[in-house]
Amino acid sequence: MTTRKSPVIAFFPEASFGAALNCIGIAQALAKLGATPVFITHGGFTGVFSDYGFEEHYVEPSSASTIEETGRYWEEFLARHLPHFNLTPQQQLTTYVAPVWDAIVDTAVDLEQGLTHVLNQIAPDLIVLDNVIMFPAIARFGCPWVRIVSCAETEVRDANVPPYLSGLDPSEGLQIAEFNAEYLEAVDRPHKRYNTFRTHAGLAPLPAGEFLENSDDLNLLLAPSIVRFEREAPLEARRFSLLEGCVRDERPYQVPEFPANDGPLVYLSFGSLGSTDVQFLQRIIDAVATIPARFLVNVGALIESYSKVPDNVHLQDWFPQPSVIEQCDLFIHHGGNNSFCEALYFGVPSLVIPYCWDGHDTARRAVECGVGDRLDRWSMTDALLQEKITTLLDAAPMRARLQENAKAMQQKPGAMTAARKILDVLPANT
Amino acid sequence: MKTSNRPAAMAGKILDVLIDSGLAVGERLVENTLAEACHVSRTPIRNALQLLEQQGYASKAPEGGYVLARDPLTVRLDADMKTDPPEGVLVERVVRDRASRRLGASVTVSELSRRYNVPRAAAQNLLLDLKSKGIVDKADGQSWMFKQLMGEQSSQAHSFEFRLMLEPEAILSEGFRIEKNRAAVVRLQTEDLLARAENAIRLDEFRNADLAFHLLIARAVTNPYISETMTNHNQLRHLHGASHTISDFRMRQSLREHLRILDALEQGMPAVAADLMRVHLRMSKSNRPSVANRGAPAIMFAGRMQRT
Repeated sequence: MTTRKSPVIAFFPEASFGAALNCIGIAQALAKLGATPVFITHGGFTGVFSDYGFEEHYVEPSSASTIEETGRYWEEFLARHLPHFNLTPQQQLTTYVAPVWDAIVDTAVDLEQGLTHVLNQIAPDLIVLDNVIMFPAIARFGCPWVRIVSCAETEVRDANVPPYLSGLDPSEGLQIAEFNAEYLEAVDRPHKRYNTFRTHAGLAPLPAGEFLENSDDLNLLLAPSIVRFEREAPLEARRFSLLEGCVRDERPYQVPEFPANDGPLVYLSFGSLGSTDVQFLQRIIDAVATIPARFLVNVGALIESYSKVPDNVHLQDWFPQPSVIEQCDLFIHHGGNNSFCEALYFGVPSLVIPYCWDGHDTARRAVECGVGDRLDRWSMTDALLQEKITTLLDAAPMRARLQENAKAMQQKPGAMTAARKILDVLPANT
Repeated sequence: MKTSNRPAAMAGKILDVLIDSGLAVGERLVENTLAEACHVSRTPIRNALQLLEQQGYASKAPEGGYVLARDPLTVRLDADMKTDPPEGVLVERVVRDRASRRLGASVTVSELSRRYNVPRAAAQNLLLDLKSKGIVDKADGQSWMFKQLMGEQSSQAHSFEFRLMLEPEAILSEGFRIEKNRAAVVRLQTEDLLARAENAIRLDEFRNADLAFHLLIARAVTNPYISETMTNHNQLRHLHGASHTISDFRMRQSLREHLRILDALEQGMPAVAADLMRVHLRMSKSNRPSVANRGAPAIMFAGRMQRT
């Protein structure tokens, strides 16, 4: 590796906005500290990072399918799986979690060669991986790598932490054992395939159910103190850094004028995946029409599918989220870790309506820690939704506590802490 | 159609005339001359001058009438005044309501009259105005159908394709000539925004500056058909109703691209300016994935959408 004045830090986030924007926050801080952050990106996600002024490197997949074909495949995949979002975490294991792990393993295999090529081109001094699976090209490249734990704190196991994706309480022993057994059985096939791939790529196999190891150098967790678990085996301070949120700089958002322009401001976003469920979002939009509040609703690319939107609702295909949350009184989201942490960072209560994956874990944690409430899709009624929203908008003590906590979080900005920790990992001659 | 925004629009036109004429601070603003230049009677000019006085651009002369109080070349043009469409407020509300799907695909005079609390005649005029702007078409019976708005994905893609065909070629067309005074104002406006701190440029300020730049190019074309088409399309684009977001980085990059195009034009290099315009328009087509999320096999998502 050549020695350069400004160390090159290559970020490889999963192609989700949560991971991507989280990495952008850290990259902005690294740039301020004199490093050169660059992004490695998948074909369907180019443009996101250059929009923030960062260099992008596109990974060519080995498969011959075009971007359009891949896009169509996933549209069909989602359409097939939308009904599964109404199932419980345990029911989702075979219907959703296992097929998704299968697809993630396919992707890791498909990108391995292209990723090796891109890494050789960039020759980074350090790689930051924000994903749920290890790409062997990264582990083998020969420079330090940092893991950003993409999901909720449950992704890093402990006896006092409920199982990842379970949405369970640590005290629910019997259910936990049952969930763990079903999880291992459900992901057995993709896990075996993945371990075979790892072994061929020169990496040691991982224990059952695991697809990503911790880094020997640095692991970053977005786990603000207010929602952090008391672990039986505390994480090793040398290798683990727990961040108080990790919020990027974003241009201030101008709240639009609503035809019904009164009342508190509520932001609703279920992420890009959630925005594909038009029927569910339309139902929520109809249900909030009678609430004396203004609703900003992230509907993603499918804005043209909506009709009869009430005067207290504004639809948009994309929001500069941190700036919106900063101005709102309640955030209704799917339990993505990034969204949850941003709500905490700005002292805004969360109403979590989980779809899948670690959203279930976040929903439970929001209630347990008194930072919001939850609503499950399978039992949601319009009346219950209206009641939860109204109650949270009136929850002055919760808001006061969250505002106090936000002040403390903002004094320890996670993005800058992460950037400094990353630079500390660099070899001395870099 | 009577709306509260008419004097503002006329005031914007008067400022345009003043910039072109090079009138100095302290000189008289002659109603007759302005009325002639703006092709209107003196009454709307008088109303607009009152507004200009409130805005600090004009001051009352001791002998009656108004004098120019601030040099339009040295001040940033008032954003609202410059960029609201002539029938402004109500048209914008309709477009915003349609973009946010509060209005259905078709509307009637009665519906608009009720919704916006205006007389039926005003609602009728509003629809005619929307039709003239290419936003609605008359359907059978009492209904008017919305066309695709410029803020919608497919329209944006078509708009970029159209502009890529037209704007670079327009720069190369015979007789193309930038008005120096107006270019100076656009440059000042742009440099003012670029001097702001990080994340301090508001989206509406950027969009106003963007419109001013592209209208400058449109006005520089001598072929009236091309000039009018470019003007109308850019005004329609500005009126798209959806409040899209653009990153601070891209806003600044885009503004710097405007300045480079102006540099090339001022240095007598239209071919370079045309190439830079092509690059500018392509750069503005930033891509974002339409679907991707954690918990799904996001790393293979490839659906994309075009954005301004």
